[in-house]
Amino acid sequence: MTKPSCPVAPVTRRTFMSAAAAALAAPALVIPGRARAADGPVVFVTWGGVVAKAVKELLAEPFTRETGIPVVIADGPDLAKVKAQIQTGNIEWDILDLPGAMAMSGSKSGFWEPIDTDIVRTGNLLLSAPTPDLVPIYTYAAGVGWNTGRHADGAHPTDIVEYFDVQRFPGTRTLRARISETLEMALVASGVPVDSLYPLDVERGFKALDEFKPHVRKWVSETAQMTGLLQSEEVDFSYVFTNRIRAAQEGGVPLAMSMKQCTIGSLYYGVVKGSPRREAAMKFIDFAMRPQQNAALCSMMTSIPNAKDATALMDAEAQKWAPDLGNKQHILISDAYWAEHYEELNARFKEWLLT
Amino acid sequence: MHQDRLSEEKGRGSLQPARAASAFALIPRRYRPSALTAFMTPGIVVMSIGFLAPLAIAWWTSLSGPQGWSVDAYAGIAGSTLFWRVMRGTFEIALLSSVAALLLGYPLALHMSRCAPRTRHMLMILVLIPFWTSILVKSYAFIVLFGRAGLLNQALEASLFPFGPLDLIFNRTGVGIAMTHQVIPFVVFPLLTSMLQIDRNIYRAADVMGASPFTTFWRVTLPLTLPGAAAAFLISFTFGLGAYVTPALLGGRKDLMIANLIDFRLRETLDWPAASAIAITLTAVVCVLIALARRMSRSRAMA
Repeated sequence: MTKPSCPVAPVTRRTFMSAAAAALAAPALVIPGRARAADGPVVFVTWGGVVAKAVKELLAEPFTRETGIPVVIADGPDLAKVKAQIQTGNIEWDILDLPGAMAMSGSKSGFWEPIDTDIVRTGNLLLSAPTPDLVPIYTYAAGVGWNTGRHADGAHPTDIVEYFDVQRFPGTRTLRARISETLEMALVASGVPVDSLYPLDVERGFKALDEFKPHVRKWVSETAQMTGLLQSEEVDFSYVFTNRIRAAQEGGVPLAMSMKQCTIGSLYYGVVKGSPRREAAMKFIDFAMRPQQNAALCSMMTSIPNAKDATALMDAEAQKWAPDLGNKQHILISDAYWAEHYEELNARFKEWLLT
Repeated sequence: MHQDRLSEEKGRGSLQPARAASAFALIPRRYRPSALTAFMTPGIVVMSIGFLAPLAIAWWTSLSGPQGWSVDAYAGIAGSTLFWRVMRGTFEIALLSSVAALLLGYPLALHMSRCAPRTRHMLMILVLIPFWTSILVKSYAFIVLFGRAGLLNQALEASLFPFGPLDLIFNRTGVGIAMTHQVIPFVVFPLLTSMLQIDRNIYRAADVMGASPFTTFWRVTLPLTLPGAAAAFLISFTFGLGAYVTPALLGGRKDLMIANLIDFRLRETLDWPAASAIAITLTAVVCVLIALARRMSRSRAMA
């Protein structure tokens, strides 16, 4: 089709020019990544919005002031992109902000540098890392939420067992459209003690979910919907995260949640394998895990600090939203378990949803 | 078919610059690159870089196993009930929304084609506004409108409707409503274009011959707009096959889309051969369908 010939000569020239331009531009697109030296900025990849703002103001800027190492905040951690960067040797990202399942899945694939314990003082952590290539930064809680305009005190479930008890508390519910957290909740509701959950009794869990299935109005994949559906009164009770309920209350929306029994998930930082700024990245993580910094980040994120002595440094309002990790009723999600079983069980779960 | 080719040749001929006579005349007419080809070149280049190359990479990835070439990824999806269920659901949803959009969009386009240009432009903007609105915002709007505590159900309750509240979202109905809403612009514009191309004199002729408005519609407008309708259907159907966010926000547990499955393999389990195999299979099925549809419309045109 692009065969050159006399009547189309101007276009041929244009085609040639654009091809030449592309050829000239190509190295420019590739080289900056390759050429970014060890003294370039550390690229920290996080989730945009409030999180990016918190990381920038509370971690990145003070870190740069102290060490002189510049930090660039980028959006949207994505394992597929990490895989592509490692495969092409063109490492653009240094540190990633990783929820449990993602952190462990990347760890299994060998995407992270081992944490340099000479730089990162891992002895200061409350919960230790499940693998030597991740640092748990904070934990976050989710539990039973309701609309106070619709359900008076005592007329709503307050723990996971009650959440699954549709006889005592009739009404519609939500659950997440993924197997992790969901299977743990189903097992606790079916009577498995919290301290002997793992390894999960998968068959028992799916059986409990079978019975609960008709009462779940929405299997949520967009976190914002968990509180949105309570607000619009589309469901009676919802599984919700503390930070969303806090934001709703501060916005004057009559939502509440129970801290009696929560699922506790972990958030990790990992350094991309082969990062030319590995050392600076480790320094950044160590800085982030100082009690002062960790407390400030958790205050803004409504999460639970993982640095020793940080909880007391949080502001009073944020402390109210941090469930007591000493409470043995909370379900601590095991990322090590999901690293081994997520793929198989989530595929089974998706199939189960369709039947 | 023959006629098509003839008119094409004539079209090409008329576009040839006269100065190109001498050596150019030696090339058999059919193989001569025309001015049309020249204008198409940038588009072809963009499509090759932006579409064909990634498709080739996906195809290559789908065939790469741990030890060299392998069809394991295809064998894997062929034996997966999850894949076939999701594939079926995806086609049902795409079909449902494109047919519904065609039924709703046709009268709308017909009305727009008969409006004064100024009114038509206003209506076109109205059709386009939802198209420019974020799907997250729209999904909240749908919940407010069609939810159990939504405006529609409140209105039904107020009018003593005995079967309420209706479950209109978080199920197939909800996906149908939202997806139809999403693809209506893709239906209205091709239809409108084909309607505006109809020579007004044909209507006058039909009128003079004593055709009723219904006969005119049935024997003139509808046959002349069928190619436009077919194009509209194909565009909205293919668009529906790739949908992802809308069903996740407004669908029920059974409304998992194939794009969602690709995302699960691509980003969560990092099984790129499987993700690529699903994508290639979907693309192949769509290509076969488009080829069939074109063959059908062509044979109808010849008859």
